[in-house]
Amino acid sequence: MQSLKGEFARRGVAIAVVSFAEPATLIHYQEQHRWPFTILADPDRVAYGAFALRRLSWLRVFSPATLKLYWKLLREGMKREDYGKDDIYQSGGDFLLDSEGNLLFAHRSQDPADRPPGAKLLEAIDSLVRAP
Amino acid sequence: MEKIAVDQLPLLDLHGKPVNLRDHFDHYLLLIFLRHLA
Repeated sequence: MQSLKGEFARRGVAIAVVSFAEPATLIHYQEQHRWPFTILADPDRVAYGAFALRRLSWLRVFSPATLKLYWKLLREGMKREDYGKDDIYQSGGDFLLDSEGNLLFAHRSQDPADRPPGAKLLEAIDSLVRAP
Repeated sequence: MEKIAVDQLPLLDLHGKPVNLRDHFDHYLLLIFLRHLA
């Protein structure tokens, strides 16, 4: 996703990442990872609620697709980092908004492995928006 | 089409200060909600 940032910018699309972690936790995270995006905190999950992002069931969190994803990440050497209080059941999602707040695209993850790749998001954007 | 009041979402920056999401984009915004930090 980070490598595609320029492609999004070329289409007039800014990127912001929202986490339900506390700001202090996110500062520490950002010091380590240095994501080139705006990172925002929603510790009370009001924004998560506004986008209808619910908590997932146990069966979805530990689905075969999730286990396959984590197995792949472990094999690639990803280390589990502890950032304190966490909620593995909270779902995530990807949303495209215009300047009026119209929701042009919505993807609400059905399990932890269910995230659209950056290239798919660009395809969706190309079909929905006109470059400024 | 569903509409979101982007300027009313109570989001915080990394220092805990309220931010208006509307100030973070001109035309379009891809908003990515994380599951958890990893």
